[in-house]
Amino acid sequence: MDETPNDRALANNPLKWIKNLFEEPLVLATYDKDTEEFDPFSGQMVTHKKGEYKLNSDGTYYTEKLNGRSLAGKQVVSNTDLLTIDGSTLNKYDFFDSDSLDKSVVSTILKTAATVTPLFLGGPVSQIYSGLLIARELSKTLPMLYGMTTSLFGNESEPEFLNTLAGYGEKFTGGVSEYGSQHTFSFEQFGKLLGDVATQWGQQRLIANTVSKLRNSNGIMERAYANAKIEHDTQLAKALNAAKSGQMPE
Amino acid sequence: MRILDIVKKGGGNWTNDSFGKAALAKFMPAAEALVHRNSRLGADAALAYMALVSNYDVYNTMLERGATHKDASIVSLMSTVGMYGVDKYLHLGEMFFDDLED
Repeated sequence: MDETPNDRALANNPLKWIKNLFEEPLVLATYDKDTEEFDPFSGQMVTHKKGEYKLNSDGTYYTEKLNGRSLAGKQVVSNTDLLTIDGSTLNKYDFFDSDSLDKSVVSTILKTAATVTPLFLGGPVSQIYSGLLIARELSKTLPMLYGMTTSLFGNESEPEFLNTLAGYGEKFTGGVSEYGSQHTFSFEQFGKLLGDVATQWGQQRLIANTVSKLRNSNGIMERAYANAKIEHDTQLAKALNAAKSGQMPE
Repeated sequence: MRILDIVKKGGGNWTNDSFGKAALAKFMPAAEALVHRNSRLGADAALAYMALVSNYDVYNTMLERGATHKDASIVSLMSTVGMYGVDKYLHLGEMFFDDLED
């Protein structure tokens, strides 16, 4: 039997969920090209279009490993969607879960709050959080960066390990519900926008501050201040000496 | 007496006397200019990062819709450069950088 996302849910199998954090990214199984195959339900040959979801013998979506394929057209299974079992009582209160048909207003508010809260905890927490988000976002752009660099010179390939890294980035990114993905002006999308703006603010500030630190901006000011103090003391001493030796005009 | 005045000033906050002001004027403007340049560099890096991560969707959507890697790469590269240029020269997306405020 092909594995469904629920088989790896934290509430269902905690060990498997933890193991899944480090394993190759999972995607919902889709057809990679137009495929004609026998349909056991209708008993006829059916043509499946590229990108169409595959169904298991129970008639539900199942997952497969990314195996270094491009992420275009693939839906990576997010770890935050695997906390509870879909349809369970606990799932109703799991505000991180976004792989359902829709998402409630309360759930959206709680998820947005949880997304931005680490930014306001101060100290190293917000910096570590922003740093992790930067790593996540950059990993997703790697295939694009590689493509930008090489395809201009005629290389059309996409390295598998970069696709896998991008898959890891997607794996740690929360999704949106079916309703949210089809309605740009929904409350869920508004909450996501708020969360994105706040977290991107944190990421931008961290990058700007890191560049300043690497270029030792604080040290430059401190050194200039120290040099000014030395200059002051030197000139003051000179003036005192001049006054003591009677060279200073009254 | 003049000497006493100088000593009194030297014993207080050194930045307030005339020697201190002259010394600060000699060293601080160059340092401040350098720090401002560093802040500008940091802001540019942040804007480049934002332009890059914002165009990841452009690249993937183009591939999804059947574009070749080359076409998707060229369009996302142009889009990234364009977004960076707009953000930088129209000073959009810089409102978070207090250090750049004059």
